[in-house]
Amino acid sequence: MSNYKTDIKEFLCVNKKFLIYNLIVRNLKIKYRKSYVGILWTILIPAVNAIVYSIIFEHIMKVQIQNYPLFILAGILPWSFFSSSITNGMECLVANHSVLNKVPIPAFSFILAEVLTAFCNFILSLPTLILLALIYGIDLNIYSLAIPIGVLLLLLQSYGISVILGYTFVFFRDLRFILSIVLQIWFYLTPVLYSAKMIPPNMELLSWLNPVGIVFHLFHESIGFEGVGNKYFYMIPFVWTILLLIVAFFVIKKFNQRIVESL
Amino acid sequence: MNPNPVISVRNVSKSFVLWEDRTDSLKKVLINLIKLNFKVATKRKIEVLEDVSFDIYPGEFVGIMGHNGAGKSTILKILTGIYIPSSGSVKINGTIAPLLELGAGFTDELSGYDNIFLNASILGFGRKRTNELLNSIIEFSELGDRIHSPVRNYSSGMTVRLAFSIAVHLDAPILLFDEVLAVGDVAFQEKCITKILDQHKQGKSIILVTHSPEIVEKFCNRCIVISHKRKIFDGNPLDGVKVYKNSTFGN
Repeated sequence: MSNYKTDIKEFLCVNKKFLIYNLIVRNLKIKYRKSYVGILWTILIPAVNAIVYSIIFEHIMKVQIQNYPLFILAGILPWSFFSSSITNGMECLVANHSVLNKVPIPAFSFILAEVLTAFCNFILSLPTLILLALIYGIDLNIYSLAIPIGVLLLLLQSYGISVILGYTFVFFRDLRFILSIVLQIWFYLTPVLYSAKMIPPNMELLSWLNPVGIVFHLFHESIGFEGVGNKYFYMIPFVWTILLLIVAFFVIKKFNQRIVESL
Repeated sequence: MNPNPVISVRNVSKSFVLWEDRTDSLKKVLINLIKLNFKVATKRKIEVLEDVSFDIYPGEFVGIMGHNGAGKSTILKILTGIYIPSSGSVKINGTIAPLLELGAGFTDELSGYDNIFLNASILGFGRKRTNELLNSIIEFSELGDRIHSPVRNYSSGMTVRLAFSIAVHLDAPILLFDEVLAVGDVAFQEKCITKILDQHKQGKSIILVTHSPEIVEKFCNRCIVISHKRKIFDGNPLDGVKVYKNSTFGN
């Protein structure tokens, strides 16, 4: 049992904080090197997306959701965190193969650093959302308090998914193309552009099968949009987080050694 | 008479499974698909080390020599735990400083200064230790102001200097060096050797992979020669160099 405790500590890189910190700093510095707008890109891209989506869905397709631009930004920001963290998390082992081949550090520490880099970007983009909510005159509610929990679950899920994808990617490079298609479909199956309440009861299974869906819904609720009727839905992200982390944990246990030799 | 070995390698063999890509053209892929043949690669097993055993005792300065592809680097990777042996066992008493290829993990876009932190943490330093050693590392590298310009603009000699400066500050009772002395000018090489000898005097065990007979003859007190996946010699450096020369020219 105590053995598992150290394994879990290692899995979360508890003793490698300095390494993780330096890798995050490196990732951020490289990303915004020689860029005029720099870190502002983190907010510019989702903002442009939000504007385009709100023009299409609010003014052309006439979606009946109040404060639609705010609604969309509240979904787009966590989505771009999620999609960029699993995309970069998947590719980082292959990208860093020259280090992994020469220094005995666990491969998953690179994945964790990549996910946390995307997380830093996400946190930096949050003030814009808060500002927009203030402009629309939204008050905090009970769901806003749940946001940190939702974000933490999203972070852990991203780590779990990235580990599973990253380790598979080493052996199976087609995954890059598959993931880009899957992410596109996943985006439309997740309540980002629409409210979780709009999912018809006969498609409820969709909500259960989507690990991240409810977290996005939570974002919508926290800025004053209607909740889902079924309270059991709030269990979904917890169940999925545990499931994904367990799978990731065993993927690491089984393949951590083979991965270095296959890179 | 000897105390317990710091490293004990017993009958270690290592083989890799190579996947050879068979789908090098789109045409082939299509033909394979039509034939319902979904195997995209063939498996081939290659042996890189066969039945290698040796012990290293505290305070030894061992040179490992061998022709290209003999398996020297694989041995070091097994010692540091990057690879696990396919059979046999490795026992290590104490920590090992993994100074395999220098500068692994350097990021070209970042300054030398930033890379010190990155590389030090990759090699296992903590925050406090890195800050303590920072000045000493910069001084040893002799880079001066250039420490703040991106590593991309460094010459290969400068990069190696910086990498060596970081690596040599690791405190571990066992130090592994993989052909690190091959680069850098004579003066810096001298400085590196002095630093390595310093560490040796402090009682550390040194393992050095090198192609230079002079270094082995001058500094090592033991030489291991690897040829074609096997250990063919283990003993006196002077004899070892002779065996090494015969084995390389024999090829």
